[in-house]
Amino acid sequence: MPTQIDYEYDHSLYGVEHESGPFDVTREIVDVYTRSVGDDNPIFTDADAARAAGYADQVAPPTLCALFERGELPDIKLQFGRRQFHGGQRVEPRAPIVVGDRLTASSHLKDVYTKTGRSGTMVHVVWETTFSNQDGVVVADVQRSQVVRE
Amino acid sequence: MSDAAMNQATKLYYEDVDLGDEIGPAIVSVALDQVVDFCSLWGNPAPNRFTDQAEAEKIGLDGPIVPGIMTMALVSRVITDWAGAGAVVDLDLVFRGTVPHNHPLHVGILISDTEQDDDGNHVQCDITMTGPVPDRPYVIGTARLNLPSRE
Amino acid sequence: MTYLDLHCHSVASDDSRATVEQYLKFIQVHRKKGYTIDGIVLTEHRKFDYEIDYSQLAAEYGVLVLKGAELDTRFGHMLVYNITPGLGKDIDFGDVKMDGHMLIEAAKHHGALVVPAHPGRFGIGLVEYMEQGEVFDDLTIVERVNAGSKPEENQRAEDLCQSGGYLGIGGSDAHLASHIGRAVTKFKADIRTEPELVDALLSGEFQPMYIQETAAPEA
Repeated sequence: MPTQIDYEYDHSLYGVEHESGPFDVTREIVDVYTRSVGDDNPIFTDADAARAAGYADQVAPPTLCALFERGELPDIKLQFGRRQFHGGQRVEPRAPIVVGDRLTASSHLKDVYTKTGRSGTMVHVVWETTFSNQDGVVVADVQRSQVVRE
Repeated sequence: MSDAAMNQATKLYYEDVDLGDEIGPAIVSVALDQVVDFCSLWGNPAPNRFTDQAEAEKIGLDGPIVPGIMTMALVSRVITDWAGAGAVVDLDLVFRGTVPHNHPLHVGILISDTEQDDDGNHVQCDITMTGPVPDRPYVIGTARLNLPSRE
Repeated sequence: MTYLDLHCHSVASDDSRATVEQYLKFIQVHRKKGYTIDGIVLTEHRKFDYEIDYSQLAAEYGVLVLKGAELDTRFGHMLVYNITPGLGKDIDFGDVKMDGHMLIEAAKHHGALVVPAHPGRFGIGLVEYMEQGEVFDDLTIVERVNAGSKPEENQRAEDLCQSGGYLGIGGSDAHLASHIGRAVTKFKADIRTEPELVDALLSGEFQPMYIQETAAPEA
């Protein structure tokens, strides 16, 4: 049951799966991602090292799939606030994601709720997304909390 | 993944950690060019609040900030550097404050629960990211690991 | 004597990542270091679960577990102790813009007690509203030590207690297992229940402290 709040938004989004993708996990994406955060773990940077450890190819770091959510989640048409920021993120890796994988995402609205903090009233919009690979294997469950401020 | 492969991708064993152990803090810092690289991946290459002083000031920030999703990637890196590439089964972060560029970020890991059952050897870590003064953290959260056992 | 952490959040609160059992487990880590924590009061954000019973866990770990709430109001967050169904009928706990004075009055009517949380916190603490001219002569106790606040915010709470004559409690405001007990309140009384907690608070015989101050003197 979604939390009751004082602001209008599109409740019809509840119970509906929003499909997106495909997202290709290219070597370039994994290389830029690891380089930008200074990750030099050979499993994430070197296909040979990853294969030697039993993986099919160079492995994507566990949080990389969260990149693909951006711009893909529907607008809930919330009648409140102007500024948005990222309030929280959860990633549960379920199976390795490797270079060459083609992912699809299935997202649904989990909850919208209000709280108050240092910056006044805030509305949290929580989405859950499941990523699967080209073989239909679930590779990660992801939860994102977007915060809208006054 | 086979157990053998998981072991090779893991640096840490269940027996290596105890409830209450503190790891780190690891100190990381993020420069503008790293954020620009990250934003190019993320489909946000134009000047924005993460890469541009003027854009950041427009929304009331002191300067450009590190995107939440990049902050998470940094935390994930600190954990996998310590525990191994295949150890993390859940990383769950709350972003409490904006994370500045070019600023020492202290990522602390504290073992807050350990449990063995039929599904594996579970370790929960409390995660905090603060500035150099252990003030209110920019980020709090937990990481759950499944580690191999030496037994 | 009873040492209680009067402010903590379990996973029932949206922004916490600790289960009650993890808190109780981690208290054993503190006890091994020589610190004293007899119990905790769960103060979940904007809600209260009348049904949930932690007595079995409490017995297993030897830690008293009491229940309260931290409610959002127009005048900042307020800790509420000894919540009854009657109070729940009069007050919508999920209303983030409720009138704090009405909450204080309703709590008093139902035998509960309201203590403003982190009053020195910038942007949301009671001090901000006092500076805007709001008067709170319906309060006697505030949270003086909040282990989740900045030092300067706790200093503002300290200053408020000094200047306004308020008594002060302490709590961790834990959202992670390892943060439990970082600040506590030491009571003269022995406390086992929520009504006893309210009596002990009304007696005025308590003081807030950080965990390091709870260490038993070496024999």
